[in-house]
This record gives sequence, structure tokens and C-alpha cells, in this order.
Amino acid sequence: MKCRRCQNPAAIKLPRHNSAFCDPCFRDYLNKQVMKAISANQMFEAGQPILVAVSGGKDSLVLWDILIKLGYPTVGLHLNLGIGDYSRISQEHVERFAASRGLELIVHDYKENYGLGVIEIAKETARPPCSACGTMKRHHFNRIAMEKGFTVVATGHNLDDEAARLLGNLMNWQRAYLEKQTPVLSDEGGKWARKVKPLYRLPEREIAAYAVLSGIDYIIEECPMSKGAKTFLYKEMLNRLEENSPGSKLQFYLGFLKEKPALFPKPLEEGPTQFCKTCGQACGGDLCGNCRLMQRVAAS
Amino acid sequence: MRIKLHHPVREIELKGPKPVIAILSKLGLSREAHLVICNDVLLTEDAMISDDSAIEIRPVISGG
Repeated sequence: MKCRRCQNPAAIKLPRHNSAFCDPCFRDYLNKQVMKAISANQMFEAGQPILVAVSGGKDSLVLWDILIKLGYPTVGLHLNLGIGDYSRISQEHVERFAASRGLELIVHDYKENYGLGVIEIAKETARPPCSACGTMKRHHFNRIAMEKGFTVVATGHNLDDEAARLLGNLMNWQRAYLEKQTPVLSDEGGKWARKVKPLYRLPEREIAAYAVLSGIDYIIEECPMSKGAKTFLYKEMLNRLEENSPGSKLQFYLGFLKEKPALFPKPLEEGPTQFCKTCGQACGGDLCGNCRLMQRVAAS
Repeated sequence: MRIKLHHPVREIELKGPKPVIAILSKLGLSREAHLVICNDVLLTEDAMISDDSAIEIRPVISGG
């Protein structure tokens, strides 16, 4: 198999483009896809400092690697969720990545700060672990970004994540979630840090391939709490479609983004109207979701 | 050939030579959800794997 551009031996076949690329041409193609996502959605300006949320998995480390190569000033933020060996190994991957490239990294450890990991917090509050984890992650990304003076947080959400989420939201007719599903989440007039997803055009297979070709050492094991998650089923279904009809995932998600303005001409819900009386973050009530969780932990 | 698999990490043996696409098919693994790697080199689906080779089949799906 030959590279479509230079005719050297191919490193990866891309059925959705009816082509194959060698290592340098593939990485160039991937960088351009990220640049396209950034510029098409005006995610950030050249020189704007970016806080990159890094878990230790392939997506966030590849995102950080690409943003550095594109010349953006970045700082990494790793949340240690306190999930035993999984969290310890994840943090080790992030620290090795940052140290080997001389990058600044902020680590926030739940157990050090709250005395409990995310599993214990979920148990204490009778919340599903992934739900409690999501609430806490959103809070910490935003709080730490604003405390450190960042106006934008980049996450490694990829095409498979977004397409699976879209399918899940459609299966359950989650209109409010559908309306909010976008590669750029607004800063609501400076009340929050803007959240951006520069990898939304790229499937996981291509991101993992980039990691292997770039020698990025990431955690392959999955979070033990994600076993049985519906996301995996949705991704499997979408991959079956993709194998039979290459380009389906991108068409599905980009088609949704194109149709969204007509589907949701007016916001279904108001943005944040109040500020959390405990932490000061913008939210829809007296307390933000994270502080409600913490209050329930304290009460239990 | 020796094949390293994940989730959980384990090793299996398969008779070679075989092209990558046939190995994935035999193991019932989606080519959209896996990479095939030999000595840190990515293999395309037409690559022929000899009987004395050692490869890794790495899942690429993540998230919960």
C-alpha cells in the first residue's frame, strides 16, 4: 500500500478518504484537520494561552502534542481522580509526557484536596460514578482555568466521542443536551472559561495512530468505572456503520452541526443566572453542581 | 505468530503467514476500532505477518 501523496510505503489506510498515507504525510494531514477545526470555529487566536485538560489517554496527549507543534502556548491540567492504580498510572503518563517536553503541568489530586476519590464521592452521594466524575471535572476545569487566568480550556474529545454522544442524545431525545452539543462551549460573556474540542473532526483510530507514530506513551487501559457504559455500545454500532460506509461518522456529526441552527433557532434554556454561594462559579442556582455534591459528602 | 491483545492484556498464538485484515477478521475484531503494531511500526491491512512474528493488536476505543 502506497501513500497517496508521496508514493512511499503507507503507514495507515484511511477508507473515509479512499486513501492511505505514510507517517510524515499522515501527521501533516492530522495537523491540518486540527487547524481546520480551530479556525472554522474560531476556538482561539494565535498566541492565546490554552489550558489543556490531559487525562493520560491518547486523545488528550495527542491534542497537547499537536497544539505545541502548531505553536500555541499551553499548560496541562491533570485531575487525579483517586481511582487506585488507574489514576496513579494515568498521572505517570502525563508527567512523563510533560517532563520529556519541558511543559508546565498542573496536577489537582482529589484525595489530597477532599480526602476522597471520585468513587467514594459518588458512593457517599448516591450518584452514578460517571455522573459525579463529569460534574467534578467540569467544575475543576473551569475553576482552575479562571484562577490561573486562562480564558480557554481544550479537551481531547474526538469524532467518535461526539458521534456516540449525538447518537445517545438522539436515542433518548435529550433536546437540551442536543442543543448544547457543539465543538465550542460558550464562555457566557466571561462567566466561564470557553471549552473547545479541537479533535472533533478526527476518529479515535487516527488519533491512536498518530500517538503510535509520534512515540506518545499513553494509558491503554480503560477507567475501571466505565465498564458497561453505553458509550462503548454506541461507538461499536457507529464503527460497524463506518466499516460498511466509510465517512458515516463524520457525515453524521457534521450534518448535525450544520442543521443545528435550524433545529434550535432559540436557546432552550437560559445561561447561568447566578453565582455559586460557595465557590463563586456561574451556575443556575444557589449552589453549583460540584458544591452540591460536596455538601452532600459533608452531610453524609 | 504471537499476538498481544488488550482488555485484559493477554497473548495468543495464530498460525501464519496471514495478512493483517485476515487476522482481524479471524479474531472478530473491527478494523475501525483496532491498530496492528509490530516493533512500534503501524501495519496496514495488506501487510503479511509471518509465522515467527510478534504483533500487538491495540484497541483504540476509549471513554465511558
